[in-house]
Amino acid sequence: MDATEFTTKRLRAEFRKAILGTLDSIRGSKALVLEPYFIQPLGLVAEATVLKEHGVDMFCTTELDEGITALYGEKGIGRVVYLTHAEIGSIHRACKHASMSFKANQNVELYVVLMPRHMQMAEIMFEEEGLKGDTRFLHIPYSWVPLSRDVVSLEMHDVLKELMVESNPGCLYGIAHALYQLQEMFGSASRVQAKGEWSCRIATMLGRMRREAGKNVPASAADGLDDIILMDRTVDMVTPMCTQLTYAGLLDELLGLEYGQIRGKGDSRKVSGLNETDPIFREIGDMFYSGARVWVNSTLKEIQKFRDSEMAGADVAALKGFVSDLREKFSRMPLHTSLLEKLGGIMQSSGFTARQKIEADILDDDVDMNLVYDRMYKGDDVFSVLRLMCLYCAVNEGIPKKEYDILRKDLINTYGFEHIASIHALQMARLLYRKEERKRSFFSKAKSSMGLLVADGNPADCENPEDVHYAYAGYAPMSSRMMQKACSAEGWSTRDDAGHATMRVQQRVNDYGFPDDIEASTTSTQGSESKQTSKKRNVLLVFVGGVTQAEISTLRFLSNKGKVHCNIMIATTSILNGSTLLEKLIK
Amino acid sequence: MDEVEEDAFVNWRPLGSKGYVSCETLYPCPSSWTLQASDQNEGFRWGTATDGAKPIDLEYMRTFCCGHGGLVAFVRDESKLVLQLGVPESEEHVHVCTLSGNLVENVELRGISSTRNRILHVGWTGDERLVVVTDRGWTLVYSEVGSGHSSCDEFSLGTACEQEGLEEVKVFSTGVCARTRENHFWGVGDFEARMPFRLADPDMPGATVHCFDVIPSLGGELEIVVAVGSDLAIVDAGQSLKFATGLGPFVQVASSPNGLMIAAVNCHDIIYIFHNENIVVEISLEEAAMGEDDSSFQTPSGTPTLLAWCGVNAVVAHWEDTASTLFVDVDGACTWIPVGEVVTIAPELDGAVFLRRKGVQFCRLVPQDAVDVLEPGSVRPGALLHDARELLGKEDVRSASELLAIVDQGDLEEAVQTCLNAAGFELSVSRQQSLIRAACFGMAFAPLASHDTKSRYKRGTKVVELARSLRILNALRQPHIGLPLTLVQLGSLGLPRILERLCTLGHFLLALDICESMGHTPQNILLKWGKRKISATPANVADKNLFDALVENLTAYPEVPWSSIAKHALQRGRKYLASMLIDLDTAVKRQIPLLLQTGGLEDAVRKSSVEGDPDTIFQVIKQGGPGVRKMLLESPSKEYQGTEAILKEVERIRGHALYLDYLAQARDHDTLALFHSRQGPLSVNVTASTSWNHAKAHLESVEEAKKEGKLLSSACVAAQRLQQIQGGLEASSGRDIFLGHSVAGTVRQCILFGLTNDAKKIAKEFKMSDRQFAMISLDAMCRAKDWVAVTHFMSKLDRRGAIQPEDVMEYAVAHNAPMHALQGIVDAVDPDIEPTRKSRMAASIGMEQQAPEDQSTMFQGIRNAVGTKKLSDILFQSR
Repeated sequence: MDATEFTTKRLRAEFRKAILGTLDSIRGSKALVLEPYFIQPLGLVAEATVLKEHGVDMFCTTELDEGITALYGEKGIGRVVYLTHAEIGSIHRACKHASMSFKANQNVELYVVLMPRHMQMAEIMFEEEGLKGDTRFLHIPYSWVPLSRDVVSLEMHDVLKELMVESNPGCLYGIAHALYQLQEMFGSASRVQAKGEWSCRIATMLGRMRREAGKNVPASAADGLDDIILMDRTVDMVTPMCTQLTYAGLLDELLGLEYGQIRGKGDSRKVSGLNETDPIFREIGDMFYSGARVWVNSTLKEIQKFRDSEMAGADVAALKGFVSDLREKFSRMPLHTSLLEKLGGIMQSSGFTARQKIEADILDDDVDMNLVYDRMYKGDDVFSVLRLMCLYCAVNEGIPKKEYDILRKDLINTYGFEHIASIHALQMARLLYRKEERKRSFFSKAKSSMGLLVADGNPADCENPEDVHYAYAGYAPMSSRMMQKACSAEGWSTRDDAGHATMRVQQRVNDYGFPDDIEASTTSTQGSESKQTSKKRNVLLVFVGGVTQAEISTLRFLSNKGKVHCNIMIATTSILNGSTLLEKLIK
Repeated sequence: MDEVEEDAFVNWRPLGSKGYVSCETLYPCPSSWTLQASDQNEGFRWGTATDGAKPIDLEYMRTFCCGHGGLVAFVRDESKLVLQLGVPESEEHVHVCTLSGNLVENVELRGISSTRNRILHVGWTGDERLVVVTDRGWTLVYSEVGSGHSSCDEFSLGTACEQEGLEEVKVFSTGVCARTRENHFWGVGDFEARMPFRLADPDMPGATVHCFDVIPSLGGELEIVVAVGSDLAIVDAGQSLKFATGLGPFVQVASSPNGLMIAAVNCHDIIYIFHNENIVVEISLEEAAMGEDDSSFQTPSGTPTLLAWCGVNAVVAHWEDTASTLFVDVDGACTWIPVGEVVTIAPELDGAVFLRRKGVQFCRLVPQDAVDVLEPGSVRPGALLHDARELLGKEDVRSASELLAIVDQGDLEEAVQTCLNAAGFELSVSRQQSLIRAACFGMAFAPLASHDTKSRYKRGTKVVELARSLRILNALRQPHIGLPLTLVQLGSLGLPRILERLCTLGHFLLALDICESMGHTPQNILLKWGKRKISATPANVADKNLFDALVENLTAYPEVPWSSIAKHALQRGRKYLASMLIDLDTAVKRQIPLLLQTGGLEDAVRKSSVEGDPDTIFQVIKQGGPGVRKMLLESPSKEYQGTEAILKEVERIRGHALYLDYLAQARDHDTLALFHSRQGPLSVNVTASTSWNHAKAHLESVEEAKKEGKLLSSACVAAQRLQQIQGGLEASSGRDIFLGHSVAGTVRQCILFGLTNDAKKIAKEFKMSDRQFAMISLDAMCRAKDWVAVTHFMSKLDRRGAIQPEDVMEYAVAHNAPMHALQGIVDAVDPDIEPTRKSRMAASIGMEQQAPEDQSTMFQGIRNAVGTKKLSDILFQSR
C-alpha cells in the first residue's frame, strides 16, 4: 500500500468512525436528513446498512416534503439528525426542514451535525426559527470524501457558481480549513504552491491559520505530506470543455458515471461498483477507450487460449492462478464488454464524431464556425453546444463579434429564451466573451511551449501511450502539464505567462515552534533536490473548482510512468465534466 | 561544610528512639537558605513591608492561615479590644500578609460595622479566596486577595442562620460549615452553587456541643466531626454516628488533612487520636511530661489552647500560658518542641507551620533518608557518599577509597537515591547543593556498579528535575515573595496554582521565569499582567502611552492573548486602547466580538471580509444590523466583497423582495438581470412581461457598461413578442401546442401542422438563418416520413444553397428512411457535375462496394488522426 492509499484509507476510517460515533451518541431510533447531493458520497464513507445498524431507521433529504413528517410517528422516530455541511445554504435548508418537522411533531428532538466544523451561524439561524432550545449542535471534524485510492473530494459542487457567477468567495475559507485539517492529520506540508486568484487566497488563508494556531501549528510528519499544489479550475478551462476519451471519462460523459455508479435511464439497468473494488475497472478505467477494448479482448483471448491448450498440461499452481483470475476478472468481464459496446455505439453516431472534429479543429485553431452552428440546428444537447462555445472562447480568449452574436442569437432561438439567463451567467463567469483585440492567446503559445498537441509525424499510440496525449486523443490536458511542472523540483515560477496569480510558500516553524513561513525561492528547493532522488515526495494536488476523470487518469499516468518523482494524491471540490460544470453554473 | 551539617541537626529533636522531629525557622529568613545576602534581618514583624504602616500586633488579632504556605489573614480580636472613646467608628479590615510578614492587602469589609454584624470567622478556600462569615450568617467571598484590589461576592447562609445566629464556623477548601446557637449545622458545599443545606443533628438531645471540625473528603460530601456531650459524632447530611463514647467531654477536635484520622483533647488533658472511630493513641499530659529530661522544663497545666495536625501522621498541641508545644505521632511517640509562644498553627500535608509574633517556624517529621545522611555519626551509604564528596572538596585522597568502598558494598544506587531524597527535604540551599553534589558524584561512578544505561539516564533527568523544583521552591521562599513550600506541597498544589498565586501577588517576572524554565506557555501570566497593568494605570494616563507600555513589555512574547487584554481594557472604559489592542491579535475570530463592542463596525466588516470565514461574517452582519447594509451601499469596496456576498445570501434566504431591494440599491445589474431573466420563462402573462421588462432594463445597463451590443436586452423583447405570437397561433389554430417552445420549436410546430406561411414569417421576424429554417423543414418532413417531399426538396437544392445533399441524407438516415427513399436522394445528385459526391453518398448507404465502417476502422481513424496537424481530416475521411 503506498502512502496515498494509506492516506485515503485513514481518512475514510476516521470519517466513518466519527459519523457512527456521533450517531451512537444520539440514543434511540432516528431519522437522518441529508442534502440530496450528499447521499451517494456518504455511502462511500458509511453504507446505508451500517447506518441502519447504528439506529438510523429513516433517511430523507432536506427537500421540503410535508408527507415525510407523518412517517416519524409511524416509524416511532423521536430524533431527527441533520448531517449538514458547514455552509450557509445547507444550514438554511436544514433549518427549514427542522422547522417543518418540529411543527408536525413537537416531541422530536433535533440534532444538527455540522461538517467539518461548528458554526455559530447554525445556532443563530435555528434561534431565529425558534428552534434553538430543542436542538443540539454537534460537529464532525472531517469533510473529505475518499472517492478512490488517490482522490478525495469535498463534495462542494457549487464552488464555481459561487465564485464565478455570484462573486462569493465564502467557499474558499471552507476549502482552506479542510486543507488545514488534512495537515493536522498528516502533518504540515513543507511547500505550498498556488496558481490562480482563488488558490492564492487559499494559500494566504492557510498561512493565516498557521499563524493563528501559533505553537499548536501541525508539525511536519516523516511520511506525511510534502507538497500542496493548488490550482484554480479557471486556469485551464480548455480541458473540461473537451470530451474525455478515457474509459472512465467516457462513462462519465456519455452514461453519467457518478461515485462508481451509472444510474440507468429508461430501460437500462443501474450499474454499480465501477471503482477500485472492480479489478477490471481498476485496470482499464484510466486507459484510452480503444486501449481498454484491446485489453479486454486480449484478456479474453488469453483465458480462451489457456482453456483450449494449456489447461490440460498445467500443474495445480497454474490452475489455481487461472481460477482465481477467472473469479477476479471474468465475473465482471461481460459487464465491461457491454459497456464498451454501448459507448462504441454512441461514439459512432454522427453527432459525436462531428463534435470531435470541431473540438480538434478548435484546438488546432482552424475551425469552421458553420459546423458549430450546425450542431445547434441539428438539435444537439444545449450543453454540448455551450461547451464548444466555451472551448472556443477559452482557446482563443474570446469570440469574434460577428460569430459571437450569431452564436448567441441562434442559441436563444434554438433552445429558448430561458437561455438568455444561461448566456448572461456564462458571461458573468467570463466563460463567454467577445474577443476585444487581435492578439495571440495564451493557449496558442502554450500549445507549443507545453507540448499540448502531439507533434507532427509522431503519432501518439493511444493503446500503449508514452505521454498524456492519449486521454483526449492527441491533446495533453494543460492542467496536467501545469501540475507536472509544479511537481518538478523547480516548481512554478512566480512569473506566469498567462497572468495568473502564482504563489510559492515554504511552510516552516522557527526555533520556538512558531510558524515562520517564507516565500519559497527556486534556489531553496533546488537545494533539496538531492534528497528528492532518494525519497518520493508525497504531493497533494488540489483542484479548486473541480477536476475531470481524464485529468485524474493523466496525473496517475504521470506518476506511474515516473514522469514526476512523486506520490500523487488528488484533492478536489468535486468531479465534473464540461456539461455538469456548465449546468451547475447556469442553474 | 561541617558547620552546615551541624546546623541541620541543631533543629532536630529526637522522637523516642525512632527518629527526629525538625523545627526550622522559616522567617526571619535564616542565612543558609540563600546564597545571596538576605534583606530580611532579625527585626521580623508582621505587616511591616508597606511604607509607614503600623506593624500588626498579634496580641489584639485573630489569625487565620491559608494552607500550602499561602497567605495569612488578621482580624481584630474583639474580645481583647479596649474601647477607645472619641475614635470614629471605622470599617472593619482584614489585614492580609504573606508568611514572610509582608502586608499585601488591607481588605475593607464594607458594611460590617454599620449592620452591627460581628465577624465570627475568617477562612480560606482551596483556591485562596478569602471567606469572611459574620455571626448572622452573612458570607463575603473575596477573590484575587493580595492583588491590592480584591473583588467581593456575598451571600447569606440562609434565614435559619440569620435568625438563630451563629456560634462557630469552619471554612474548608470548597465551602463553609456553621453551627447555630441552637446547635444546628448548616453547610454550603460549593461557593459557586451557594445552596445552604442543613446537616443532621448530633443524635443527643439536650447535650452540649463543644466544638466541631470539617473532615476533608475527596468525594465532596460535607462531613464533620462534632464533640457533643462526652462523645464524638461524625455527622453528614443524612445521619450522625457516635463514637468515643464517654471519653469526653472534648474541648478540641481536629481532622487530619487527609481526612482519615481525628485528633481530640478532652477536659482531662488526654490527647486521643482516632482512626475509623478506634483509639490509636491515648496520651495524658503527665505521660508526655515524663519523657522530657530537660530540668528547666515546666509541665503545662490545663487544656491546650491549640491542637492541630502536623502532616498526616502526627499532631501538635500548644499551651499558651507555659508556651510549650507537644508533638505526638500516630504511634504514640511524643516530644516537646522548644518553639516558645505560638499564635496559631497551620497544618500542612507534611508538617505544621507555627505562626509566632516574631517569626514563623516549620515543624515536621524528618524522613528516614535525611536521617541516614545527616545524622551525626551515620554510616549509612548515603552518609558515606556525602562524606566522600566532602572529602573530595577538601582534596583529600580518602575520598576515592570511601567511594570505592560504597561501590564494593553494592550500595551506590541506594546512596545516590538517599542523597537525592535528603536534598528534596532540605530547606537550606547550601545543604541542598552539597547533597545533590554528592548524588552526582556517586552517579558519575554508576557505570562501575551497574550497566543499565537506561535507568542511569532516567536518574540523570530526575536530578535535573529535582534541581529545577528546588530552585523554584527556594525562589518562592524568598522573604519578598513569602511562599514557603516543600517538595511535597509543590506536588499536591501543582505549578499552575502557584503561578496564579504569584500573579495575584504581582510577582509576574518570577512567574514568567518559572513558566519558561518548566516549558509552560506563559499566556495566562501575560494576560494577567496586561489586565493588572491596565487596572493599575491611573485614568489620566493616555491610552496611547498605556498601549505603548503594554506593547513594549509584551512584544517579546508571541502568544499574547491580546483580545482578552483588550476586553479588559474595554471593561475599564478604555475604548481607544481596546481598539488598538484588538488589532494586535492574530485571529480575526477573536477580534470581531470586541470590534463590534467598541463600535468598530467598519473594521469588523473589513477584517472579516479579508479573513473570509462566512461564519464570522454572518455574525458581523447579524450583530451589525442595518449598519452593515448601509455601509456596504454607501462605500462599496473590493475589500468588502466577502461580506457583500454573504449579505446577499442572507437577504436571499429572507425573501425575494428584500433581496431584490438590496440588489437594486447596490446597483448590481448583473445579478438582477440574471434573476429576472430566469424568472421570465417561468411565469406567464403579466408577471412574465414584468420580469422580461426588468431583465431588459438591467441587461441594457450591463451591456452598455461592457459595450457588448444589445443582443441580450433585445432578446428579452423578442421573448415577449414570441409569447404573443404563440398565443395568437394557439388562438387561431385552436390547439395549445405552441407556448413554451423556442423560436425553432415554434417554427417546427408550424411546419408540422401545415402553417408554412406562419413559419416563414416567424423565421424572418426572428432572423433565423436560411440553413436553420431549411433544416427544420427537412426535419419536419423526415419526422412526418414524407419521403416524397424529401426527394422533391432534394431535387430543388441549390449547389450554393444553405443546405447540401449530405445534410438531407443525414436526416433521412437518422429518421430510418427506407432504402428507396435514400436511393432517391442519391439519384437526385447530378453524376455529371459531382461524381465523387454521388459515389461517396452512395457508399455511405451501402449501395456500392464500400461498406459502412465498423467500429475498429473508426477508431483507427481517430488514432491515425492523432499526430497529424489536422485531427479532423482523417476523422472525416473515415466517414
